[in-house]
Amino acid sequence: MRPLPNQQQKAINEMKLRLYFGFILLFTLLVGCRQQATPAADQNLDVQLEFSNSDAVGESNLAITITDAQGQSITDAQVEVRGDMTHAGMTPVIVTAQIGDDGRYHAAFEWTMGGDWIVTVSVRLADGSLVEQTFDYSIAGAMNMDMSDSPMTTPEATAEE
Amino acid sequence: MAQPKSFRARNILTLPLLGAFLRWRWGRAVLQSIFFLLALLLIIDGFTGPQLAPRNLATVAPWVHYRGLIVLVLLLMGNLFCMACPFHLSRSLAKRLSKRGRRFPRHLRNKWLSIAALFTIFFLYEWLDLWASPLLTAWVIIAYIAASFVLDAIFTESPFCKYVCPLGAFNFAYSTLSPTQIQVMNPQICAHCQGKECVNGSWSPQRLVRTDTIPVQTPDGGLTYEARQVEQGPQGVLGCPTTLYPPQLRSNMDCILCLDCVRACPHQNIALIARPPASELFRPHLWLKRWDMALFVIILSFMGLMNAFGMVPPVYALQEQLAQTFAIRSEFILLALIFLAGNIVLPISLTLSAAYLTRIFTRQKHPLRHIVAAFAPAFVPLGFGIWFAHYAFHFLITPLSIVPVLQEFLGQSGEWARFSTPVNADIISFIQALALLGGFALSLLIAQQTALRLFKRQGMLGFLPWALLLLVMMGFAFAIFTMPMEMRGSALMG
Repeated sequence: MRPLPNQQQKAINEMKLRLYFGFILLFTLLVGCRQQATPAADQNLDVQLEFSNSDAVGESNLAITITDAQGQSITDAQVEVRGDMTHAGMTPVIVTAQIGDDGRYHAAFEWTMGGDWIVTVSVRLADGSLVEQTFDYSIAGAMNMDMSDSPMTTPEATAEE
Repeated sequence: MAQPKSFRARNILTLPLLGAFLRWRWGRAVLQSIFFLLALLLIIDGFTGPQLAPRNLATVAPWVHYRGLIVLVLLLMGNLFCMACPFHLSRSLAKRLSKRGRRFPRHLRNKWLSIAALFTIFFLYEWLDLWASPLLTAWVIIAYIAASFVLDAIFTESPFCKYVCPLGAFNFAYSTLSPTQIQVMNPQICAHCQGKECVNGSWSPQRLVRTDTIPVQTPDGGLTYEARQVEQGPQGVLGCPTTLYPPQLRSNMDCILCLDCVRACPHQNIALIARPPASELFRPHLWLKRWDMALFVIILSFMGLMNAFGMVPPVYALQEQLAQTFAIRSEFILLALIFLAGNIVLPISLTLSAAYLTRIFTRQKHPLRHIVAAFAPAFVPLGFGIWFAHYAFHFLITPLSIVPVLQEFLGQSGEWARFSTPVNADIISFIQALALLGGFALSLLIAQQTALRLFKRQGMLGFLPWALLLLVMMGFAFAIFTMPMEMRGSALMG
């Protein structure tokens, strides 16, 4: 290979440096892209979860109570519940809860594996604002890897009246 | 000199496009830049993204996708990660900024440091639940970059790659199974090469010219000598970072596949050949008869077992049992005890016992060190099978989960329902069983051939203790992988 003259080499090095800083700038800008939700406490909302089974792997009925600062139930929100294992790469369980006659939101939720779970409740209020709250659970038991009937794949069929 | 036909057919560097890219002076830098930018993404998301491991690039990319893909790449291609290693860029920068430093201390030029580094990273992984913490994972990446920079700024060779980096150590050990290897085409040319650029580099501050007289084959099969002008200069490349001399290369161990030797060789005498996978493990006297080298691969296979053991319920029962028996409530101490027992005491004592029994059974007076060194390569396939079964499990549970994580990183809604479908459980189990059984069978075969070579007629007696040890490891691995897995932090953390 014929060696490049020093000036040409310098120009290439400068270009590489600019390219790197350009990319770093771009990625730094990307940081601001993520959608942000407000923590429920900041909106003076109280979110309570009640699982029929929060100990072992298997099906569970979930009831969610959402109240405002005055203790009034909020019944016109869109509520989505997402269960994640603390380990990266595990299949999440995502269900949509629907309002029931008792003023609470209901959904069928399946603990698919034993271990530590983080359940995130996302509440889209009538004014369009998004509020989130997380809850930690520890589940015992074997893993259910047959997720073909997991609520995540049929979110519309998960609500309970 | 024209390449011999057998080499031309097997030399990956002669393939169109791929070969040209690999030989290209900037080929490696392009790959490294891509990986370096990915590492930056991981750091950014680790520090600023949601601290929920399944939704953060910093945890999903390294703990799920990197680990799942690395075992596949090592098995099917070679040590491509070290080739594209993002930490190598900081090393190159360090080399440019630093003056010519001193050699790495002689007493550290072995695999003990690699064993310690592997032990440390696996311990931290369990103790700090790195798999659940994007922030800590980002710090680990930064620590890698800083360590490679500092070590390579101080010392002449690449001590970080060769002696410290746990990722590199893992890749070194299991690239011995890979179907590719660096090899010289004609050792005679190397014998007549004055500069040994493959290891010394072709870089020099000023242009230097010399003449090598190298042997050349004539069309009628005879041999003649040809004077060939060789140049060194500022456009040259550094030599082998891990100071391997290609004509003596018998193993992929310590080769980071940087191909600097290929680019530096003034006689185009180095090839990246395709070979039967694991073929080097059958060679006698593969590695030096050193405790560190032998125990490195044996301990790494036990680390595979312990790493998988950390995923099943009995580990929590064991922790509780230890906590009650010794009245210890510190998770650090409990984990350290389990790690020391499972990763250090157990492999060393079992290996020494097997070697001692071999000596008794065969009534031959080989030193224990020689016996352990001879049988060490047999632990590579089973160890790899265990790691493969574990990492493949995590990867195949949600192989496409990186897509919604990226979507969310870019400010979109993650399509989790679409990209979170796990591979069928039966297929995952089949792959795990295949990896374990395949590794076990190959390990047995290597151990048997080693025993026959070493002990001749008493070979089967010499084989027995090693077969038993491999069988016990295999049984333990099988038991772990058929247990229900639990994904949790330490039971003591509440």
